[in-house]
Amino acid sequence: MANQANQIERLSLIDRQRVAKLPTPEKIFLFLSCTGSIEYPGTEKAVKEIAEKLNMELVESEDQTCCTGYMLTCNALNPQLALAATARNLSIPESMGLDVAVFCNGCYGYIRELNHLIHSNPNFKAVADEALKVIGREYHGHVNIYHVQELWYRQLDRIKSLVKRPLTGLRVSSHYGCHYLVNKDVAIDDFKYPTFMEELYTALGATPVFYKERRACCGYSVGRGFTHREETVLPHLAKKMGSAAQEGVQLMTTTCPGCNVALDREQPALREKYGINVNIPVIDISQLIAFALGTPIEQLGFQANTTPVIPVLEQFL
Amino acid sequence: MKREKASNWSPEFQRAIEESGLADDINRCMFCGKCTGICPVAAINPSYSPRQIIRELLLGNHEQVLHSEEIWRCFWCANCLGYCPSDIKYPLIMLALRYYALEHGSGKKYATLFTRFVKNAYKDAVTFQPGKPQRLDQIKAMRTSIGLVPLRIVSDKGKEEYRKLYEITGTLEWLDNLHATEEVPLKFSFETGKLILGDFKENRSNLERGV
Repeated sequence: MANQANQIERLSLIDRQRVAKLPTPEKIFLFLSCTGSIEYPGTEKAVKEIAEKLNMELVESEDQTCCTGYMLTCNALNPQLALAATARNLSIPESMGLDVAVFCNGCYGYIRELNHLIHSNPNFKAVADEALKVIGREYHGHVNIYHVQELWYRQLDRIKSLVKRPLTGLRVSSHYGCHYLVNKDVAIDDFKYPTFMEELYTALGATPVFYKERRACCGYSVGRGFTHREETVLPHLAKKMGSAAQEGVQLMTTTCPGCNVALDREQPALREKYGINVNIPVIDISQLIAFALGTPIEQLGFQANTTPVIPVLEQFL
Repeated sequence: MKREKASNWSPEFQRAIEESGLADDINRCMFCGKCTGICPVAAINPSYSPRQIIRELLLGNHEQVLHSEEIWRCFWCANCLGYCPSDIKYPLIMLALRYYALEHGSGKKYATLFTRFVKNAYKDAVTFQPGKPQRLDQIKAMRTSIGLVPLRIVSDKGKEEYRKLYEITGTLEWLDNLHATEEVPLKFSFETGKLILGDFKENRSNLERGV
């Protein structure tokens, strides 16, 4: 066990300087995600539970709308709208003087990219400015955007000290999702070989498991789950989840409720179509942390999952 | 992909993609093929190759790429970008390419599938709110049972502002055009490159005039 932890640390490509520069905010704006609040509401709940335990005040705003990025990348709307909506959403925390914490890789990737475009290209900036003027808002770009997982990792030691239910012996594996790590200029870990989630598992007492297709994507991000499901997405997921099942993974965590939809909801189809024995509950990393920190299991929204989660976790109650 | 013909080649193509303002210098590509090697879609569909698409783009082979299904296969996982030694932003090129294809009347069936989300969002300012009352009740019950508010609600002010953004960016007309017959090309905002400001201003003045 200790041996494995050492090994992970040795393989780690985590950028320690970046981690050290991350804030441990007392107050931060929580950017709500549509999927994380509707399909898997337990994600939203778990984020709030952990923040409370870390004395981090989360400020929400009912004025915040959908990040609009999914529809942009599905090519279903005028790209200007996504640009304007991002600037509008970010103007809300900016007017409060707060930074933003996001719990969905999708929202994170989209608002970060669109924010970057607004600031790197004067034409995009002009579009955003002009649109905001019509609705009486302004956005200057003084907002830092963080993913909650990096804020949790920043306080790894504190989380470790708060563990109420050590997850001893639980074989957990990761799915990192793509749109956090690809922000190579800010992400705390390596794109090709990330290990910070494995360190979090170790801190919770669980056993990290590496599987062959660990870095494979979920296949759902830009709507390919609707357009190319049978021919591309399902065979891809069969490869990914099949390789996880081979390693005896008991639980998988993601950092994106969108990935959860693909990895969890498609499991019956994988069993039926490919005859592979996949039965791996998929939850958000925040849900696993909140569970280990003592949040009652019925408060974590596991009933939303297609593959039952509770049978794997009830041994720790 | 269809067989290529010299007459189909056009320098306009690369220019249009570059002018979208999304992809910076595509000429940096050195065709090493790491993108194709690491691509999960290429691993399943032998016909799909990011390297080939970039090649066609640089050679200006309009027909080859624009009207093929290949550009609609990409998962947007960004593995290609993660491994690219030249830092080519392939996912963003793909985004621009797909919009460019729609603009030229190709691939609409892949986009129209998602317009229901856009219409929902116009109503609720949230994308995945389920339409079926039964499912909605289920979600409300679940959220309430774990101590959250029954639904993620956007304030009236938020919705109103969001709808106004739809209107001033011409998104509603845009949706209608997307659903129109294949022959009507979509008028895109970024036609002249970088999201056209011209149309945008026109829309806005229409709005101000109450049109």
